[in-house]
Amino acid sequence: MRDPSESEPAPEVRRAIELLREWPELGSGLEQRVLARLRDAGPPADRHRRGWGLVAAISGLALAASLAAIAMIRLPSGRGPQGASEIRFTLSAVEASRVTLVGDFNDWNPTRTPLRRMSATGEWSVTLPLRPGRYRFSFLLDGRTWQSDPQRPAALDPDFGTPTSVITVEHSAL
Amino acid sequence: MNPARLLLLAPILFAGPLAAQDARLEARLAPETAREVRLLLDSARHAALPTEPLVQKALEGQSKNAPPPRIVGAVRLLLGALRDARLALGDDSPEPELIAGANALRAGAPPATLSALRRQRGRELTVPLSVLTDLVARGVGAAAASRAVSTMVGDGLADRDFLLLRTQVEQDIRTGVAPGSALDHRLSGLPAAAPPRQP
Amino acid sequence: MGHTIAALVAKARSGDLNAFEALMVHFRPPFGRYAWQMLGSREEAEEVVQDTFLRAYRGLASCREPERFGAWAFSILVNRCRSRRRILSRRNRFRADDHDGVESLSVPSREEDHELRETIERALALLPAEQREAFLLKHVEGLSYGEIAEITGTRIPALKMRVLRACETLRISLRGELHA
Repeated sequence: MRDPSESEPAPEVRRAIELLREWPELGSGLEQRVLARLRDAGPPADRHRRGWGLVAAISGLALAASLAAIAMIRLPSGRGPQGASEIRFTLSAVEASRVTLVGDFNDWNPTRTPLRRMSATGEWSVTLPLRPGRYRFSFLLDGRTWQSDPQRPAALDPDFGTPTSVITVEHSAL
Repeated sequence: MNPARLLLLAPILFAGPLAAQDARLEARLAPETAREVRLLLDSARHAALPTEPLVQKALEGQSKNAPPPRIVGAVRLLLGALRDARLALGDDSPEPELIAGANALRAGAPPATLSALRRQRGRELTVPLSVLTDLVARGVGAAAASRAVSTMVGDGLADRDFLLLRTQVEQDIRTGVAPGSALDHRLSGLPAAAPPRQP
Repeated sequence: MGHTIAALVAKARSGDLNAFEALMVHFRPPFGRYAWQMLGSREEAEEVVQDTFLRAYRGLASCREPERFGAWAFSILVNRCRSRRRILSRRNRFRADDHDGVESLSVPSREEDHELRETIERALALLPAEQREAFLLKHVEGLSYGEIAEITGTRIPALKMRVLRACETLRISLRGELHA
């Protein structure tokens, strides 16, 4: 007799699983906040002598607040630690009800990075931390129309033929 | 429970970067398409070629609702370009340079151009190759872009000079200058003249 | 990634923060996904994942199989999520049913809102915590029942029942809301 726990879930549940696997990511600032705390101490052997008490003594909210403060101090100039830059993407799309950013930096996930409507005039915006590198991307309007970024260079798309842009995030000056 | 006693946990998700890439493909692609792409990834790994661009290409195709054969074809073409870039740039070519080289080849740069750039410049060519690709994307002919980049590498210019050239050419094109003309004028150090405005 | 997980763990153990950063970059997506879906809040998920990484770094000496760092750290995450849920449930009004008392999971802020995600989050919120945990570990993270049993300390028959019940509850609450 077949084990019912090994049966395929219903279609609605399979679809939910699919969407759950494509869930938005937490921001890469998380690593920077952890590193900021770790840099205050020595290698793991030293920390181990202090024991878990140090971590356990910090309440969740206090930790988040202090790390967020550190992150804010590091980011107002648009550069984070470890070379990530805060890059702003904007698009004017009055008729759209939903705009997302889709590209190499988010696995071309069509829903992971929504833009926020900034004004009644149809300006949409999102800011992402991006490490140095070259990224191809597009905007997706209402889940069906691809649009390139008029403010950034065009990129080739010989494979799928959709409007695509490219952004190069440079290393900070040495 | 002592986490250190865990032995056979989550091999699919946590065995390493290869498994993480497969999880994205499994989640987004049809099973047969994922299988074909995985075979191409295996080929890339065996050849010590970067696999992440191949994964991104597959995911891009899926997000754009491309039919499966087109997705697999795109990944296969990119894999071929990576192999050709390795042949042209050398076995020691680092991943970012290989990827830039593959993009340049797909934009139409001849393999001989990449080989020549390698002979001219021992250090990394990622930026010159990326600029070459971007110039072609803006409408500069592949041959003209290849010649321009070769000249600049031969002259020993730094990466920032290539990035500046690209920015300037882009600005000129936006004002209405033809791409080829914009490149020629910027190479000669002179700003390009915009065409007269239409009445 | 140019290094194996085991090599990065070895480097991190000797104090190489770049190596540990690489580990965090690699595992942040699945950890963040699980924590967000388990706790129903991006902010709570960030806090728990940060806590997990901190504990993992400080406890690296006790990770006896470096190549299984991910699984080892994931078990820390699951436990941190459980602890966080207990704190959240003490803050919220307790409901007189078999839920764990987390009455209202915070919904994503406006700019992150997306219709389908909201629908699924509402459906997940209907699940008792232990069913949600088993369902996510089984169907989203792809673990086997043996692996889930190791992580959660729950026997396999009980886990299978939780997953079945979770699937049934989700099937009913998502009926007509999602297109397969």
